[in-house]
Amino acid sequence: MGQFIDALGQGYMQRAILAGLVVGVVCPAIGVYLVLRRLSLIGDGLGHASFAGVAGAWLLGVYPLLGAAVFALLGAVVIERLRSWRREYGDLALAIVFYSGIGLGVVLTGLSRRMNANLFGYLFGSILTVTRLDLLVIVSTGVAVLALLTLVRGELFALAYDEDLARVSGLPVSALNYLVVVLAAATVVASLRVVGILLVAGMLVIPVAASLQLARSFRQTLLYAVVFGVASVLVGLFGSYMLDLAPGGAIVLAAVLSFLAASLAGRVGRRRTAMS
Amino acid sequence: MSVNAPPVLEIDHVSFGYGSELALDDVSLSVGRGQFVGLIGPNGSGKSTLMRLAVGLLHPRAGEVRLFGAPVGRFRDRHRIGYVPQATASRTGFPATVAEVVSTGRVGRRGLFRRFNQDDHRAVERALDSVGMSGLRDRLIGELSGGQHQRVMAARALAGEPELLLLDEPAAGVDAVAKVELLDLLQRLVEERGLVVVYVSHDFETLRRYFSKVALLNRRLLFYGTPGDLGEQHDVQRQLVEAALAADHHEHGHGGG
Repeated sequence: MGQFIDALGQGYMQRAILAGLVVGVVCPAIGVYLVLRRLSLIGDGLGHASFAGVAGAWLLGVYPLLGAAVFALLGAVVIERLRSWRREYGDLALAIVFYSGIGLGVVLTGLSRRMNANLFGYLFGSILTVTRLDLLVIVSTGVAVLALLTLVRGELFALAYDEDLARVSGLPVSALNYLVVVLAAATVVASLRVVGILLVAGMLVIPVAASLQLARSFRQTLLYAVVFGVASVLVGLFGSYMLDLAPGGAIVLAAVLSFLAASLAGRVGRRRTAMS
Repeated sequence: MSVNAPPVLEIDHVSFGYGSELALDDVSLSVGRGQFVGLIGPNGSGKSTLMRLAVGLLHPRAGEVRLFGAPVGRFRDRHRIGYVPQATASRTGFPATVAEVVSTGRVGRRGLFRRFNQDDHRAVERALDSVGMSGLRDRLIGELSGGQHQRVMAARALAGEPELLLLDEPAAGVDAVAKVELLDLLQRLVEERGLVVVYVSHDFETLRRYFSKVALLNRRLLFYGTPGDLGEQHDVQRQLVEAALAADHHEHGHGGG
C-alpha cells in the first residue's frame, strides 16, 4: 500500500491515472449508444482495424496512434456504410472490417521483421508506459468526444430509442449514425495505450452492461456506466500494481467484476420490489 | 389562415408494393384543416403502409405524397407532423423513463445543438398530463402495459405540438377504455387547437362518431367521405368493406391475420 502511495508521486503513475480516468469516462459514455443500438461489438471491429494502423505506422516509423487513428476512422466509415447498405448484415460488416484489420496488421507486422515488445503494448495495453505525447492525445481526444456527445445527447438518445421516429422528427439520422461510429473510433484510439486493441471493446460495453442492471432511467444509465468505468480503471490499476498483474487485463476484469456485482444487486433489488 | 392554404396531407395517385404484388394501388386522398380522419381497413389492407408513406419512411412506387403542399422528400418543417407507429413490441429492455421517451418528441422542434429549455419541459409535462400519464412519468417504459405504452407514444408525438398527427392503432393490447380516452382527447385537440388527425383502425362501428371523414382502404381506396354518407348512400362500398372486414375476422378466428 505504502509502495503504491510512493508510486503516486511518480510521473509515470500520474500519467497512467489521468489517462485511465479519461478512458474510464469516455468509453462508457459512447458505449451506451453502441450497446442500446445492439452494436456492442463495433469496438472490436474498430480495435482490430486500428491494429493494422499501429503495425503500418510501426513499419513506417511514424507515431503509432496516428496510424491507428487513420485505420480506425476508415474502419468506422466502412462499417457504417456496409451497415446502412444492408442492414440485416450489420454483423457481417463488422466481421469484414475486423478480419481485414487483423490480416493487414499481421502482414505488416511480419514485414517489419521485429515483433517488438512495444507492439505488444498496443495489443494488450501498457498504461504504465504512457508518454507525455500519448497523454496529450488521450486527453484532447477524450475532451473532444465528451463535448460532442454532450452537445447531441438528446438527438443520440432519440436515435437510440427509435430510428424511424427520429427520421420522422427530421433528425439527420445518417449523419448521426456516422458521428456515433466516428466518435467510437476516436475513443478506441484514445484507449489503445490503456487497455489495448484486444480489450478496448470490453471497456466500451462492460461498464454499460453493469449499469443496465441497476439504472431506472437513461440519465442513470449514463451516470452509472461512467461510475463503473472509472471505478474499474482505478481498481484495476491498483490491483495490478499490488499483485503485479498486467494492468490492461486487470482493468477489464475489474469491469467484469463490477458487472457481476451489479447483476446481483439488481436481482436482489427487483426481488425486494416484487415482495413489497 | 389563407383560404387557399394547401391541404395538410395529400396522397396523390400513390401505389406501393413489396416485390410484384401491390400493397397499395393508386390511392388518392386529401386531408384538410380541422379534420379527424378515420383510416379503416382490414389487416393487410395497407393502412400502416400508407401511414409510413405519408411520413416519408417509405417511398411510393408511383404517385406523390405532399405535406402542407411540399413533396414529403423535401418537407423540412418536420415538427409540424407527429407520428405514432403501430408499436407491436415495445422495447422492453430499453432503459428510459416515460418522461424521457416523451421528451424525444421535442428533438425535431428544438433543432440540432439546442439545449432542452423551459418551453420543452412544459410541453413534455403538458403532453404527459393530457394522456393521463403524469403519475407514471418516472416509470421505466418497459414496465408499461400495451395501452399505457400507446398513450406514451401519443404523448411523445403531442409533445412536439404538431399540426398533423398520424396515429396507427395497435391491433391488440389496448383496452377499450384507454382507447376511448385517447380518442376523446384527440377530438378535444381537433376542436380546440385545430389539430388534424389521421387515425388508423380496423374498427369502424365503435369509432365512427369521432370521425369527420372516413377512408376505407383495402389496397385500393374504396370510400372517402363523411361517416353519414357511408351509411346512407354508398351501399356498394359498404358491402365491399363489410365483406373485407368479415373475411379478416374469419382469418383471425383461425389464428391467421
